[in-house]
Amino acid sequence: MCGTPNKLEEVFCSKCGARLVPLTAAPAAEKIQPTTPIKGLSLPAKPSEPAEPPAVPTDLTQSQEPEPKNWLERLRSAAPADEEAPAQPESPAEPAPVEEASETPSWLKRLRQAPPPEEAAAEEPSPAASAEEKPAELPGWLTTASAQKDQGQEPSPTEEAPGWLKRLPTASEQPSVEPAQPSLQPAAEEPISPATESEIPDWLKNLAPASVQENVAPPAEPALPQPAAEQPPFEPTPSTPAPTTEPVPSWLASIGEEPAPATTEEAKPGEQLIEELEAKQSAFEPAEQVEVPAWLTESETPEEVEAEDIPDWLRTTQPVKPSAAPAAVETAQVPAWIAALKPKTAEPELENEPVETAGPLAGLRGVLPLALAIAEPHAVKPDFLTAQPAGHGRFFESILAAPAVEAAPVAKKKSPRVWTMRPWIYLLLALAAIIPFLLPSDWASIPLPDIKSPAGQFYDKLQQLPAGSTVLMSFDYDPGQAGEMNLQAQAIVRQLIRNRIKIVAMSTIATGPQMAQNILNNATRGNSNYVYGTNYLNLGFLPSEAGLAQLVAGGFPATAKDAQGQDQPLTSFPIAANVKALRDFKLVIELAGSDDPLQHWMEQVQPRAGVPIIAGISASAEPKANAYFSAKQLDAFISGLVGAAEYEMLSNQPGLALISVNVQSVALAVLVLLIIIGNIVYWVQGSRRTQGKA
Amino acid sequence: MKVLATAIAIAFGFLTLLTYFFRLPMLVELGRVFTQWAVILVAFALILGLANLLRVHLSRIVRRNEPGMGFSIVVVVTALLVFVIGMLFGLSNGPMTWIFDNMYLPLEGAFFALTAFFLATAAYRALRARNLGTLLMLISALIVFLGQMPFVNVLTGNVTADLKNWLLSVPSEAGVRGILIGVALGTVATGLRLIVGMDRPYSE
Repeated sequence: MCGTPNKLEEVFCSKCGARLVPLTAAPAAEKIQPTTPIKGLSLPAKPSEPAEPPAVPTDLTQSQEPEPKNWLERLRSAAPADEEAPAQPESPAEPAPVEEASETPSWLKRLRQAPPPEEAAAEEPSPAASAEEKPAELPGWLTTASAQKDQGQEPSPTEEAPGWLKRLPTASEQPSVEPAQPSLQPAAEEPISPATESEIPDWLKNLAPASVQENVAPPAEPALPQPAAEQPPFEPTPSTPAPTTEPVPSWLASIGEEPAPATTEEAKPGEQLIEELEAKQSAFEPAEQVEVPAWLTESETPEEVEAEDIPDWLRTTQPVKPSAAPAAVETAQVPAWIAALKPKTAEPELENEPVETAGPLAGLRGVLPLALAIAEPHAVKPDFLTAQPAGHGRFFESILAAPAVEAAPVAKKKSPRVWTMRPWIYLLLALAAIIPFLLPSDWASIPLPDIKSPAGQFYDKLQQLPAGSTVLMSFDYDPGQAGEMNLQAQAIVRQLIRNRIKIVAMSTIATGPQMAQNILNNATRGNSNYVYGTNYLNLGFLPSEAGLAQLVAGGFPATAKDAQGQDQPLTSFPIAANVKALRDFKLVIELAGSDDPLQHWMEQVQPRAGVPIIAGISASAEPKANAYFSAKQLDAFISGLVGAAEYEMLSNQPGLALISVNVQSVALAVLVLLIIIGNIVYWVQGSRRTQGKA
Repeated sequence: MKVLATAIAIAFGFLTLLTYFFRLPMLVELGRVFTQWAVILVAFALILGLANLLRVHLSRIVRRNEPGMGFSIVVVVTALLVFVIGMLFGLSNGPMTWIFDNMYLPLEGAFFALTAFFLATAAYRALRARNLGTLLMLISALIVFLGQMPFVNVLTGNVTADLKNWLLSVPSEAGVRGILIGVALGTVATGLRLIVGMDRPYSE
């Protein structure tokens, strides 16, 4: 307990949740739980709250718990009520409200009256015999209670009878209790006296079997819900739950109160009581002949039911007699092709097959018989391996037994040689490249180029350079293009050396610096006036556009070294002392083996450097060079072997370029000839195709 | 991480672009520094190319039973041998020069020379007048071929040379200029998209 003050009406602590009010036996008023009434012959409903301990046999009564006493106390305290005390409904939800009649029907009263001793004695032997045979079935409290009732004694609550039964009011008391479910309440033995005809309700009269009068077996009564007062008394059994605390109906209470018939015999067992009730019921003679509707008797056929007895709603739903069989339908003439589609019935072959008699396929025809091998084991025949195979097996064996014969070699058909031009083309081209080298070099008589031609302007640009000036040469071609570009480079370098122009070489291609070094070494071999570092220098490799952009923006880096790997900066070389940026060069000579390096120089250097640029290009880059030349971005250019040959002629230094031009001319002539021949062949073949189609 | 890469690309691209429009000393110096970094990155790309080449061929050697495994062995051995020689003796000294002059140059030249024979075969088979377009191309090719031969020019009185010069100066030059301008405009658009951040090839 937390000690928190709580309200008086609080049951649980508001802070810690502990229970404030100790658990005690609830007052009687709180423990009365409404239960659903029982309808007709339905099983008793299980109460929501734990029910009272069930009624146990006599030997177990000591373990019984006391029954709630509220309603019993009321019964005892209440004045003896009439037998016609009103039966108050226990709950408004009762579907079968208890009769509110204040009076117990007289017939019920008579039923309660004990039968004559003679009758009782006559009935006793059998029930008594059964009781003796089954003494344990009837609880002791019932036997003692009935005996006491016979004697007019009130059953003592101290006996072994259940508490609720002990507390039942005596016959003198007429407690006004609420009607309870009679099926849950153990009913005491009570002889029932037959009632008069006037007291029997009509519906009960109607239910009285006519066979009783006619000595016919009583019809099966419909399972109609019976009022609570009409239900037969409950026969207590050990397995049944104990009755609830509901008040005992007056009629039930009165049954237990009325004294038993004066008999010295022991209390009748429950079965005996029921038999008595049945006997009394059978002995009941209605004042009037009850007209049982014909529809209620099973022996009557529907046709015998009188129209007046059949309600209208039932009359209209009478079964319709089956009509006569319909007239035979005329069969239509079915076409033969449709008739052929009709599924065939059992094949005639199967009709000759025996019918299976056993197993799941009994009754079917054409069932494959079970192999004997499945039914019982069988031994392998000794001649299984040596037995002659049949059919295909014999044929296969004959093939295997036949001697192996080598298959005759299939003569390979020699495929006709496909005549192609390729080897002839190669041969012609090779001859075109070899033979001109054997001829004199001037046999082609190349004319001197015009000074206004691109080659002439290129030569002029170099010739206009003052002696001692410095030019930048970029060797941007691969070894694969060296055959064409080296001739240009050698002619240009030789010209520059002749004019005493200082050369600074570089390259934007990885293999360019070595190409440049070879050219410079070849050009300066044997010339002691040209010294590396003083007259010419190889700067090495600058990565494409980024290197050109850096060259334009910042010039040569102070820490840059040359391509020879000499461990000294560029500024230490005399040739580079006065050259720090591109503007310090008089001319830039770009040797481009393709159009990309030329484009890089035109885009990165020419617009920003402000230095004239001339180019020696491969024949494949001539269209682009023409565009830059026309836009005056490129001052001059020479193209391919022809340009090299023209420059050699202009610079008066005939070399390998002039010879190479002759060879190239012959190769080009062969190529032109091949193109012409190919077109002629194509046209001829095309005309033959068209003629063939025509 | 993608946001950081995009931010760096936008910042550096925009600053480098500004150096072309404003000659502020700080911008010029900043542009020079960025350009140096680009030169270093481009030079480093060559090393990456070599590494990728070795990786491809080494994987082919390891897998074995692959066609061309022998050639992959030759490539890897040669590359490593030349690399080691260059590191030991330098680029301009004897061994490297000898390898370049006596192995690399002849092989490269011979490979380039083979294209002439392939070109001749292709010209015989492809340069056929099947329709008007191919006919025009055939005529243009013949004119250029003939204009490249000096003795033909002499024989024709420089007619073929003039035709060739006209062909290269007028229709060919027009086409080339159109291509150059189109490529330049595309380059500008691509550069702007990279600077603005619309295209992010580096972060994908």
